[in-house]
Amino acid sequence: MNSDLGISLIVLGAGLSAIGYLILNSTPVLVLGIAVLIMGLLAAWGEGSLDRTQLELARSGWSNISALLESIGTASRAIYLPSSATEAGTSMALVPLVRPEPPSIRLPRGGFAIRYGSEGETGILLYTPGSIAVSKCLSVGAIGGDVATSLTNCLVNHLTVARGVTATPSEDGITVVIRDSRVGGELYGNELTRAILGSPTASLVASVAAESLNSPVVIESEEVRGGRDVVIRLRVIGHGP
Amino acid sequence: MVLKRLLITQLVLYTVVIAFLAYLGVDDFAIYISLVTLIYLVTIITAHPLPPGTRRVANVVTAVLVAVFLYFAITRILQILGVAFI
Repeated sequence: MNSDLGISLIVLGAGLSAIGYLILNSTPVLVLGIAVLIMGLLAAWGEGSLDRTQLELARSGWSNISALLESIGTASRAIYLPSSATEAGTSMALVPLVRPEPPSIRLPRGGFAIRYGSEGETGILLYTPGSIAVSKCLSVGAIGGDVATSLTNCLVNHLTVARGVTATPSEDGITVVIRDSRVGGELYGNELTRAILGSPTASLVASVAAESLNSPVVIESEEVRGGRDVVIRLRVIGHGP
Repeated sequence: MVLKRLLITQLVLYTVVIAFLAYLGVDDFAIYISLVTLIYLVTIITAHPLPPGTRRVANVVTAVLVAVFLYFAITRILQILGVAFI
């Protein structure tokens, strides 16, 4: 069972049935309780199953990206850039092909494979789940100068993809703990894309943090703690252009 | 979206029918459960195709409701025929 709505309806239905049968001795209330219980069963097992199918269908795009990265032979971690670092004005991820250096120029609009460094560094510029999250949160003003507040406002209050966020500054970076992330790993599974971009949850966190700090950010590590919390360590690399 | 529409339709129909029967003073559990079964079957059929998770549960609930309905129907028919059963 994966739905709070379903469980709530089941409990409400059981309660109504018990009250109708034992206390009120009323058949209509008893039957209404049974009807609500049935609706709860449908909701509990059904909600989200169509979304999961759609997610699986959408994985083909990420499989192509994974194949592309594999054929290029890159294994560098992506650098999450704030929107000010791209001419398109969108938060994106740069996968460096040679050296993992942050760009010193604003990255051109419409580029996919781009040359960005003074020494001819090249990389691949990708839209990530975090790009979409940042554009959605920027449109409602949920991202500001403080990382912890921005993460909470964006991921918990606006997108509701997690129950809670804690951000702690650490040496040359930030440690973020996401409680009960609702973003599943189905988006791109365990392919190479995950090793480079991080999990979808980590991608959201890195993009929002980069936008809030206005600095490029790299996901250093991520681990699941206690089965519910995801601990993501971000490294801030330099300042935006 | 399919599930949301189904649940809203069911909730409206259950509430209207149960409230109407209560207003008429009906107190027979068999009548209520028969109408709930009817509403459930009609709404499930009109919402076809259901998402995979819902389909399995819907089949189980259908079997249970139809079994309960058959129990009451057979009991009534036997009563009408005057057959005594244990």
